Amino acid sequence: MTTSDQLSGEARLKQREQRIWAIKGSLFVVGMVTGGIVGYLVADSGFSADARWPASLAVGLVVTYLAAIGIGSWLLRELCDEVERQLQYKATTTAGLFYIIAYPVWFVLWKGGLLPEPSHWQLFLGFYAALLASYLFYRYR
Amino acid sequence: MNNRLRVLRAERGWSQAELGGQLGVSRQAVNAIETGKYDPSLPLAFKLARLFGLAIEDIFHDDQ
Repeated sequence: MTTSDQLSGEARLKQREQRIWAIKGSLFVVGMVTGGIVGYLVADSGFSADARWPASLAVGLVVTYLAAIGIGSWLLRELCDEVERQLQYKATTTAGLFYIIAYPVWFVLWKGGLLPEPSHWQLFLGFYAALLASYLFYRYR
Repeated sequence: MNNRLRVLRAERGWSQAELGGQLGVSRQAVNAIETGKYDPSLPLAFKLARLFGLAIEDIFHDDQ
């Protein structure tokens, strides 16, 4: 059996990248299956703003989400190099900055009657958009 | 910070992927170090120095 130390640098790198893609692929599958189950269970009216979801579904989703994020992050952290880690730190900091600026500004403008009430969905999506944009900026600048 | 990494790598006929694999980092990380976009941590700089059989200051030097 070939150990990692006996492989060439390129083969070792390929092995490492395959592990990373296997983890990302597994997380993608978990997300697709979870999304499919949610869609199947609440498709009729579950996506309207006022709809309530069964408590068991909510608990199941939270457990799955926390397990996927926790285990996935831990496994990827083992394989992630310091350049990638720094990119992630910068992107997360930028996205956090977006949130701590956007929410209070929107809240105050809402209190002043200038904007509708802050939407948690839009803030969440804005956080992810800022995360992605800053990651791509720092990676490809 | 400037470095001679690209030259040292070329002297040995290694690709960025080969060097990355030996260091335990990605090809993108090697490229970022070579182009000066990223300054490696001390542990990674020592690893590079050991790999090339040189002192850190033979590979990296500051601009001043």
